[in-house]
Amino acid sequence: MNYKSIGFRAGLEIHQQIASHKLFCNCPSNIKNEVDFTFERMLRPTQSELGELDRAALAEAKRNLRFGYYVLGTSACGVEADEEPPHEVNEDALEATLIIALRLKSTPVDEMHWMRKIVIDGSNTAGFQRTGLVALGGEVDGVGIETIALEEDAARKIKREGRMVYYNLDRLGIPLVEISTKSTIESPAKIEQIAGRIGSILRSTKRVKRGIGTIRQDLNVSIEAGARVEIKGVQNLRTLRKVAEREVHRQLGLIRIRKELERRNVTREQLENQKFFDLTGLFRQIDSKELGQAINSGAYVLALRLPSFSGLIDSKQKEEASLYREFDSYTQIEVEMKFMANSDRLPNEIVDGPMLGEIKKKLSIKEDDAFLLVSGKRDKATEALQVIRERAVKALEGVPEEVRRVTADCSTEYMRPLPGAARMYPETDIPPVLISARRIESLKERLPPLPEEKIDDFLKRHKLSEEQAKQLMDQELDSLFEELTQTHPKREKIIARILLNTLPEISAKGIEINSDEPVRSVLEAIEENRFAKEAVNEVLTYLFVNPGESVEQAIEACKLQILGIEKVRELIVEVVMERTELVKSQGEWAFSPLMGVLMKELRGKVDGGVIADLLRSELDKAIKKGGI
Amino acid sequence: MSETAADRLVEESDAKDGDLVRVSNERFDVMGTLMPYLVHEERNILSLKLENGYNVGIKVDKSTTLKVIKRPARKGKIPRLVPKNSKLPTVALLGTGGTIACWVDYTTGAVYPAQNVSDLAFSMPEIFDLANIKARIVYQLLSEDLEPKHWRRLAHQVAYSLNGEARGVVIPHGTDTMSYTASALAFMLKGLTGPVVLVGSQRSSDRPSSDAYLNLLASVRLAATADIKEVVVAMHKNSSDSAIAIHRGTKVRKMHTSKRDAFESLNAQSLGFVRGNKIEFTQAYHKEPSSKVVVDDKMDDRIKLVYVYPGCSLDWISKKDTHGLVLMGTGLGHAPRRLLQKIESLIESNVAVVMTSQCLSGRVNMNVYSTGRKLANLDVIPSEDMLPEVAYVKLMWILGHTRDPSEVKRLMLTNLAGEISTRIPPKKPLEGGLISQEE
Repeated sequence: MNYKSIGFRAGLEIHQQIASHKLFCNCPSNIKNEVDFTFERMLRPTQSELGELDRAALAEAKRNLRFGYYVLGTSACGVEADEEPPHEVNEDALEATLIIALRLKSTPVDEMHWMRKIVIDGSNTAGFQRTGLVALGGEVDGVGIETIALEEDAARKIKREGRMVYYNLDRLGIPLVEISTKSTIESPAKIEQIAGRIGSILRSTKRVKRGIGTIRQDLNVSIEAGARVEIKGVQNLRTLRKVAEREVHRQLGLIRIRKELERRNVTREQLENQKFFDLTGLFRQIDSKELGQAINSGAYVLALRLPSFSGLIDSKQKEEASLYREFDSYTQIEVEMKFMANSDRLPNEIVDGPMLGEIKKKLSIKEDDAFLLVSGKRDKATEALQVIRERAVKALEGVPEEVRRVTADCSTEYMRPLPGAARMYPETDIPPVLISARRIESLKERLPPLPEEKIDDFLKRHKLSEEQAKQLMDQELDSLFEELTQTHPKREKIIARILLNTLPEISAKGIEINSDEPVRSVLEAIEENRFAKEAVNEVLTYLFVNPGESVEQAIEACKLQILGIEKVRELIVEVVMERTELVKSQGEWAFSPLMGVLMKELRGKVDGGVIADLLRSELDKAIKKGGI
Repeated sequence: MSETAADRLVEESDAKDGDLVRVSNERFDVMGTLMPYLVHEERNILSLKLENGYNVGIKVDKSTTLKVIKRPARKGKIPRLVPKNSKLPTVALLGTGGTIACWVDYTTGAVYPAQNVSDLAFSMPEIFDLANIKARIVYQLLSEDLEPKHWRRLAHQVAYSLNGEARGVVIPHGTDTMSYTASALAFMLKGLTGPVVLVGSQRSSDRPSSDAYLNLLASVRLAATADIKEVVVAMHKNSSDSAIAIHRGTKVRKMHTSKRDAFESLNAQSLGFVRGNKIEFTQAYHKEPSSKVVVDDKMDDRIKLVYVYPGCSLDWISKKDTHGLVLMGTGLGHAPRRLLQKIESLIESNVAVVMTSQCLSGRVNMNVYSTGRKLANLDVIPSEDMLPEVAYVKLMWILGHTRDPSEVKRLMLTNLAGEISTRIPPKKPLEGGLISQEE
């Protein structure tokens, strides 16, 4: 696809957890699934002076939810429980954010002001997320940085049961740096490149958390005839491109539908004036167990006619944009119900027999018209049809501005309306933070090198291959490598080999590598020529299996097993060969006399068990060979 | 406070808070709404709210320019009428300040307390379903600034309301000194005809999680429907938004700086609770009918409340301007032997000396140890299980009526407003911890 010609524009918002304790208290940033106790809250949007409420907040409030919070005393305190005011900002997290900002050529503000961003879905116990803008501007690979902010991570959603939503407080308050690019990225491929680049810069600071859930990407995508759509929660870098591509596809589809509706002269008034029809009576006669049961237990079947929408609601192709899917996610989010059927794809019970005709008659369906059916409690079904009617009106504009979330197949579904700017007001409990020019200067002097600067250094100074250098970076072994080469200059080659080959080999054997101490002592021993480089693998393996033992012990042990055992085997083979007759006549019973011969030779030098094992296997071979 | 370059720049550019401005210098070129800067005046900072909603501070240097782009028209407040339903009882809402109702101005980000009747009432529109609300702001003060004179004024307003249309009274109040006001009202108001409910919020009402809403709703429900005729405090029962505890005004104390269930009844059980639309009393309470509320507001301000501690002194207390002294003694009600002489001389000059305990929980008993016996012999009045603050307010009220030592002692030891528990049943062991679990 030619993304330029459709006016593709995208921006990234990257949320990365900082490796430090929580932002406004001293709780550790640990994610644990244990729970000490729970408490329960409600949230209410605060009114502004003018009686205005944020539309996103209002949409949440309409859902009338209650929130249950899981608390583990070691990972959350009164601050997370919203029982205690926030402490002053975690300076370590702020410093990390400033380093990241400088690395992205962003300009720190002179004074940070903490804000409350209204979020009343329960993910923040206070009903707002605390956030502060740290720096403005900047650039990465030709794409402008808009802002860099430092904020609190939200509580972890556990489950929802009816009107109760449960969260764990362990994640709430973990410092997050939020990097927003300008919305000037011109292709889905470039999104992936920029996100990858920002990710590697973040890692190069050594101040960010690693692992699943520690980085999240939000995406905003628009095309010329479409609208700005925010897509939340892309966890995987590799899916960014696909998500963007599918979103473009969806927007193009919605634009096609808009054009078709224009051609068919559908007007806003026409749609807004559509009434709902009660078809419950009609459906009582239907031959469907499921429906019959629902209706008997008090469910209603309501219908909405959508004039001239025929063929536009449900596409046969799975990949195509469809209003059906939009309607479905809207009703699920706003009313928590799925709708029953649409006229573009009707279940057999309706198509077969006289049902369809009756519905069409009742709704006065003309050839081009479509209709939708909803079944459920009367007020809920009515609400669902209202939501669908509103969404149908938006189809006349093409793509509505909204926040969407990523689904498992990299497409997106409706999540909530785009929040207004009104959702931020000052957090008066935390004093503003002055960021002095002197502080910035001193940070600039000790900025960690960029990934490419390090690779360059590895190539030129340490004479590594490009592949080795990149591997060290990717596996985040670069710091360890540098540290080891500083103590052992001229040993770069073996250090790189240990880190990139030997350790993975040992780990592949299922041996846990949980310390770099063995590597350090082995390097020292090599430096002092205490053993031959060739035995590195064996010695290291021994040290990882027997933590706490010295290199000397390892060398001793390995000698016996490596050099000794081969010699022992030779001797055994010799002994067995010399006594072929005995083996032939006695078979397995030859073991004892042979063992006696061997023990005379080897007692005290090799462990008897080792001899017995080897003898058994050699004897076995000899018996098989002899055809006995 | 000296004028900074930022102040001068704002003045020269004729910019006002709320204007859309453009600020440029060598490092920044940004547009935003000019915000009032309130934090550190000397920092020479311009505070802007950017289009994305964030506020930032930009230092003013020689290269900084400020230009007003647009001055937005001030939007007027939407006037709102307080609904009236003749079928519902009338509840008086007497505002005293505090943060139970505040408003966030998202344009400037300012948060300020409700200034008038409708602001206060409309912060929780649900209360109109329970009662006709007659709201009045009595004063606009932080609770730490309240004085005995304010208690008197409030007592008269309560009586006026109850002797008028109101069935009950709700008093939104700052939490810091709420228990002092509650006991003052309890001693001053005689023959209550309905509930008088003090209510506050521990987590400010400018946050969606505020406890203000539920506390206020429960208070109005109490005032509109309960048959109790006492001064009570209604606050969260625990950390959850579920039950609101009803505390007797003379037994309640703020026991935590910030959490929702900071208010506890000490040496007594709370009277009951409000959960959803149900009110449940678990303890006996005063409900005898009365035809008229009478205010007896005579109070003597010349009382001191003194914490006893190792090394403490009473030398600074002059007999001339002291009529009463409430000691927060150690343990069962003790003070260093060193102070006995001073205490004796105060009592000889007709200063009423009352002993309470800084343990708060439990009863004063000056018979167990020798120091206690010596204090008792000097005619120090043991205050039973009264909270120190309650004993302080009570002594003010008593001394407003009599300075006769034996009468003072008799009244101090008489249960006037539920401030003395004759028996304190042993408590179920409580789970410790910051946040109490849902019961």
